[in-house]
Amino acid sequence: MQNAVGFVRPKHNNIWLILSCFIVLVGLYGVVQVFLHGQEESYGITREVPWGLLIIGYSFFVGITLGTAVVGALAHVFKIDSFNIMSKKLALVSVSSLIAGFFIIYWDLAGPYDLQVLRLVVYFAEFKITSPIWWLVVLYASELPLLAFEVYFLLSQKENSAFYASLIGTSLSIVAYGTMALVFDANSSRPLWHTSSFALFFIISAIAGGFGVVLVMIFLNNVTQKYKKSIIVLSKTLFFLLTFMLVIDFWNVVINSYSSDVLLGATMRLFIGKGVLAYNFYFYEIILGIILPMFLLLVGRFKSSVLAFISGILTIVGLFFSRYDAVIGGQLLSRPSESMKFVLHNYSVSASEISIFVGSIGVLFFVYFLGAKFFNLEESTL
Amino acid sequence: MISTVNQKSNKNQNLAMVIIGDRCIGCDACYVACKTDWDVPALKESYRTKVWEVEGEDNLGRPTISFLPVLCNHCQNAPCVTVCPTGASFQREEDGIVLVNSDMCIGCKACMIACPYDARYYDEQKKSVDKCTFCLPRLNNGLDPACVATCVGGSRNFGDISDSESSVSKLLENATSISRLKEDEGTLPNVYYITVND
Amino acid sequence: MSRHNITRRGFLKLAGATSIAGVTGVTGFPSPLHASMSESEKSSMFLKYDRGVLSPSFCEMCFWNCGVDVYTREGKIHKLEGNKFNPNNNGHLCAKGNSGIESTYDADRVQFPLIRTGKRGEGKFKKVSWDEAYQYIFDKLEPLIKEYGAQTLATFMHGTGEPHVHTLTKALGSPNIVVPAYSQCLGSRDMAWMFTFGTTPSGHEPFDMANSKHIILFGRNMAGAVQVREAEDFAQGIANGAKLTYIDPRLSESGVNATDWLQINPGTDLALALAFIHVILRDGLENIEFVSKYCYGYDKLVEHIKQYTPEWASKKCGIDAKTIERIAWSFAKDAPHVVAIPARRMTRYGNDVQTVRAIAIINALMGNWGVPGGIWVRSKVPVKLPEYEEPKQPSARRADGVGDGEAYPFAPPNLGRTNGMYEATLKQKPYPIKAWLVYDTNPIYHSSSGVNNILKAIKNLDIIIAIDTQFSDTVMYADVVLPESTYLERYDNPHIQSDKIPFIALREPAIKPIYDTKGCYDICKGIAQKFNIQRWFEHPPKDKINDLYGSLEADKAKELRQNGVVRFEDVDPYPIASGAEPKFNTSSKKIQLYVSDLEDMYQKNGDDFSPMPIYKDPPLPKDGEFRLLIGKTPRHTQARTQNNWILLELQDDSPVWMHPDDAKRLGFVDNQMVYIINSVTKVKSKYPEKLKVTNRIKSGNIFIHHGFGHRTKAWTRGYEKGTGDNFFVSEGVDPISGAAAFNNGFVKIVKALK
Repeated sequence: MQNAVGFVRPKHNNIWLILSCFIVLVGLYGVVQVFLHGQEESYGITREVPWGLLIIGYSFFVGITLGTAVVGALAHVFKIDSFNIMSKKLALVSVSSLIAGFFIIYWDLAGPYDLQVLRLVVYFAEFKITSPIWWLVVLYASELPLLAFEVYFLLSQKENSAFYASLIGTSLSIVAYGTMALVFDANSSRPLWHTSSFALFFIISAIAGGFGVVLVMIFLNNVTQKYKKSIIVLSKTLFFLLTFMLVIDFWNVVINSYSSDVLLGATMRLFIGKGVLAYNFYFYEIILGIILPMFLLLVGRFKSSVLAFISGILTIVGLFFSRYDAVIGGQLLSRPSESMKFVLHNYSVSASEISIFVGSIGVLFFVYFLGAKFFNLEESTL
Repeated sequence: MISTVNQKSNKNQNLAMVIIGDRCIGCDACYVACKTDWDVPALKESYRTKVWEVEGEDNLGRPTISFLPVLCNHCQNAPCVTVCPTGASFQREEDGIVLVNSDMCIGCKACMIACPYDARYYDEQKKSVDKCTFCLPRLNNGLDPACVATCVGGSRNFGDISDSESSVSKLLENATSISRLKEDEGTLPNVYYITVND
Repeated sequence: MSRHNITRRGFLKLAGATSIAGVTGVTGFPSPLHASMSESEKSSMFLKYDRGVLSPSFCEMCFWNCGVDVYTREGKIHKLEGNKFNPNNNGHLCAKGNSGIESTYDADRVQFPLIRTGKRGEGKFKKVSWDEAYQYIFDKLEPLIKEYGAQTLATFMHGTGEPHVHTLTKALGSPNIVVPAYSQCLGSRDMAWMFTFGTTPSGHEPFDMANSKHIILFGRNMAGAVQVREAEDFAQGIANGAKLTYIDPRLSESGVNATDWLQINPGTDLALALAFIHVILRDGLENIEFVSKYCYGYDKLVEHIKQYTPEWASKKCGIDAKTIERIAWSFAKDAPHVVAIPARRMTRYGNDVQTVRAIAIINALMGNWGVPGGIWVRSKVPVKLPEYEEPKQPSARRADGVGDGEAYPFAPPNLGRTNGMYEATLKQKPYPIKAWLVYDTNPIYHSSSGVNNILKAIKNLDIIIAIDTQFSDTVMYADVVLPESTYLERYDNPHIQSDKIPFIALREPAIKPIYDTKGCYDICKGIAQKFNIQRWFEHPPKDKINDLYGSLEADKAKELRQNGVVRFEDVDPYPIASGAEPKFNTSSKKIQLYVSDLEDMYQKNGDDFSPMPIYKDPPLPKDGEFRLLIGKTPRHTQARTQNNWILLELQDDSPVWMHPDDAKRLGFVDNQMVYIINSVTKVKSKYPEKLKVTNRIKSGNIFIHHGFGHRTKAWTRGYEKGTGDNFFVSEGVDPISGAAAFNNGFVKIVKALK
C-alpha cells in the first residue's frame, strides 16, 4: 500500500525485529527480579551510591538522542548536504533512543509496578522550578512528540514542517540534555560534577556519539559508496569533536588537580594510579573511546568506511564509559564531617541492572525496526 | 513542651538538636531506638541516625578517638528540598522540620544525591525516600525525639532555639565551642555540635 | 504547528485534572507560589503517634535490669523506652536494651519443648509436649540421683529466673549451683572489695562518678561494658569537668575524654597501683584523719609499700615515674571527691584479687568512702518484705572447690565457680557430675575453661537440660530443651535492689507468649512436680507481686502501680559526709589495708595470698606470640544478643586489633584477613577474621571483642559471626578467688589467603 505521504511498507526482513525482541527479553530477567525481590535487592545501588547503571544508561540513551538529532538538524536546518543522509533513519534512532531512555529510567524510579511515575504528572503543578528533574520532565515530555513529529514530517515529505520540527526538537534536545547534566552539576557538594565544563562535556560527547551512530549506520546500511564524501566530512567532524573531548578531559584533570577542594582532590585520585576508576577512565574512556578512534580515523585518512565504522562504535562505547565514570565517580567518596577521612563506597553493578540495560538497548532496536517495518525509511533520490 | 503543629501560635519555632560532644560515649542506643520506633528497614544502610567513631592522632602521634552522632540536619537552606521534582521533600515553615511525604515521592533519589550529609535512604517498603523527621509524630505527643529520650550520656538535646529560655538555647549560650557540619555548603544546618569542657 | 499547541495544552490539562489540590485551571497558568499541596496536608501523615498500652518491666538484654516501659499496639510490642523512675537507668536504654523487642519476635527462638534425636550438637530434635519433656527429665535424672546422690547435678544459671532454678536445685538436694558472673566476671573484684570494705561493688557499682573530680579507671571500660546508670554518671562527671585517668593497653571508647591515657603493659596494673600508694604514703597525701579512724593495718602498709617506688613501677608497667607521681598528686589533691575504679571483668592475669586490693587501698587512703564523688554506701529497701520458705542448703560438699576447708574457702557458695564445675565434670572429681541443668547461660562455646575441655567434659554427662529463650550453642548440645518465655512475655519476681536509692521494680508481661513457652517458674515447678517436690513452688511471681503490694504503705503501693518502680529516697548514701558512723562488715570491722583473714593461707601458700598485695610479674608471650586481650562492645551482651538483627547491623564481626609496628614486622596490612592460633592447644580459628591495624592497642598484644563466633546453626543471622575468644583465652585461675584468668592467653596470627 502506498499513500500520498509516502508511507511505504517496504519489503522487510522481520529477522531484525525478532532479534531485537530477544534482546528486550534479556531485560525481563531484571524486571522479574524487581517484581519478586524489589529494587533494593535487585540493584547494586546503595544509600551512598543511589545512582547506578540505570541512570548511567538513561544519560547514555538520551545522549544518543541528542547526538543523532543534532546530526539531523545540521542537515535540515543548516542545509549541510554532507550531513543530509538517512535523515529519516536518524530521526527514528533519535526517537527510539529516547524511548529506550524512558524505559530504563522507568525501572530506576520507585514503584514501577504501581505506575508510581505518574506522580510526576499528579504533582506537576507543584511547579518545582528549582528542581532540575522537574524541568527534565517538562523538556523531555515535550521533546518526544517533537521528535516524533519530525519523523512524521520527514516521512510525509513536508520539508518545511520537518525543518521547524527539527529546529525546535534539536534545540530542545540540547536544552534537555543540558538540564540532564544540571541534575548532576547542580549539586554543589559534589565538586566532580559541579564544574562549568560538565554540561559542555556532556553535550559535546553526546554529539560525538551521534556522529558515531551515523558512521555505523552508513556502514551497516551498505551505503558507503553512495556517501563517500559524507564519510569524510563526518569523520573529520567526529575527529574534531573527539579532540575537543580530549582537551576538556585533560583540562579537567589538570584544573581539578590544582583545586583546593579536598573532596575533588580525593576524587581525582580515584581516576589515577591504582584508583578504582583509573582503568575505566584511561582504558575505556580515554584510550578506547577517544584516542583509538582518533587514531583509526587518521590512519584511514577519514576515507576508510570500515575504520570510520569501528571508530563510530568505539565512540559510542567511550560515551557509555564516560557517563559511567562521571556518574559513579561523583558518588564514591563522602565523609560525615570535615574532620574525618573520606570513606570510599562501593558500587558493583548487579545482574538485574545489566539485564535491564541490555533490555533497553533491545527497546531501542525494537522501536527502530518496528518503524522500519511500517515506514519507508529509504531516501528518496535527490 | 512542643505543642501540636495545628496551633498556629507556634509558627516561629526553630527546632534544633544540640549535641554535646563531651557526653557521647558511642553506645549506639540512638540508632536502635530510632530504628525500632519508625520501623526503619532491616538493612545496614537504612538508618536515620548513627554514631561515627572518629579515630585520629594527637600532636605526639598518640591515637585519639571521638564520637560523632549524625542525623538529618534539617537545614534551613535544604538542597534536598530544592531538587525534589514533586514537592515530596519539603520544609515546614512553622518549625523548620524537613520531611518526605512518601505519597508524593517518585524515588528519583535526587535528594539523596543532593544531601551533603548522606542523611537519606530509600525505603523499599514505602517505595519512597525516607529520613529523620525530628520525630515529629512524637513531638506532637509531647515526647522528645526517640534518640534524645534514650541518649545514655545526655549528649543529645532538642528544642526551640528561637526561644532564648529553652534548654537548647541555654546550652548554646554556655558552650565552650559550637560548630555545625560542613558549614561551607551554605545549608545552615539545625544540628549543633557543642562542647562544654575546655 | 497547531498540533504543538494541542499537545502542550493536553499535557497541562492532564496535570490539572489529576492534581490533588486545585490548579487554577487549564487556561490560567498557576503561579508557583500557590503550590498545589498545602504544607499541613503534606504534614498530616506525621501528626499521629499512638503510644499504645504501657506495661512495666525491667530489661533482660544484659544482667543489670534497667527499667523498661513496654509499649504495645494491638497486641504487638512497638517500642521499649527507659523507665524514668528506675534508678538503674533514669529513662535511658542502651543499644541492647532498645533492641529487646527482637528477642521476642525472633523466629529462631526455641518455640516448643524439644528432645534430642540426633547426636549432641548436631541440632536434631523432636517436638514434644511439656509433660513428655518433664517425664524425660525425671526418667533420666532420678536414676542418676539414686546412684550418685543429688550432688551429681550441676546447675548453671544467669538471668532473672535464677531464684526458681536455685530453689529447684536445692530442693533436689544438690549444692552445685554456679553463676558464671563470679568465675568469669566479677569474682576477684568482689572478693578483694569484700576483704577491704566488707561489701562488694557488684554489678551496680557504687562509684559516684557524677560528682567526682578525678576518676581513675583501671581498665574499667565504662563506655564499652555499658551499664546505663554508670555510663550516665560517667558522662555527667566528664561534663562537670572531672579529670579522667584511663589505664588500659588499649584505647577503648572510655578513653574518649581521658585527661591521661596510660597505655600500660598488660598484667602490671598492680605495680602501678602500688606505686600510686607509695607516692601517696611517701608524700603524706593520704587522708590521715579518715585512715586513722576507719582503717586497719596502716603502719604495716607504710612499711610494706616502701619497696614499690614509681621508678620501680615504671620498669614494670611502662609508664614513666614522673607521670605516676603527677597523677597520684593530682588525684590526692581533689580527694575525697575522687574514685579509683577497678575493671569489672576482673578475671585477667591471675593476680586479680591482689590488684583490686591495691586499688581498694588507694580509695581507702583518699577517704572517699561515703562521700560525694567517692564511693556511696548502699541502703536496703527499708520495708519488711514478704518472706517465703526455701529448701535448706544441701549438706553435700561442693564439686568446684568452694567452701570451708576447700581450695577456695572465701568463694561464695551461692555463686560457685563455673571453671571449677567444668573441671569437676571433666575429671569426675571429687565425685561424679552426671547431669547439667543450664538456665539462660551458655557454658558451651563461651567458657573460661577452653572449649575443647568443655566438649570433652560434657561427654561424661548423662543428661543436659537446657532452659532458654533462644537456641544458644548449649541448647544445641542439650538432651532436653525447655523453652522459656522472653522477658516481655512473662511475670517475674519483683526486682529488689539495694542501692544509693534502693528500689523495687516490676515485670509484667506485655503480650501473651507467642510460642509454646513458659516462664522459668512454671518450668521449674513442672520439673518439681515429677520429683514430688512441688511444695517449694507455691508462690508464682504474680502472687509475689501481689504480696509485695500488700507489704507496702498505700502511697508506695500507688507509686509502684503508677510507675512500675517504687523508690525509697529517704536514705543516706554519703554517711561520712553527713557525719554518721559507717559500719564495715570485715573481720576487723574496719577498712582493711591489711587482711588478716589471709594470714593462714599466706603462711601455707606464700606471696600470692599476702595480706597486703605483693607484686609478681605476669607470664609473658614468647617471641612471635601475642597476648590476647578481650573486652566488651557496647553493642552486644554475649550469646543472648548475637542473633539480634539490629545489633548485628551495628556489629557483626570482631576484627583483630594489631599495632602498626607488629603488622609491619609480619607484613600485614589493614583489613586483611587473618587466623588466630592458640599457642598452647594449636587450635586455629575456624574462619578468617579481619585485621584492624591501629595504634590504639599496645604493641605485642592483640585484641578482639568478646561474645562473638557462635556455632549454633539454628541461628539464621548470628551463626559464625566474628571470631570467638573462647578458644584462645587462658585457663588460669586466681589463687584466692578461684575465678578465671583469661588474659594470659598467647596466640599467633597468620595470614589467610583471601
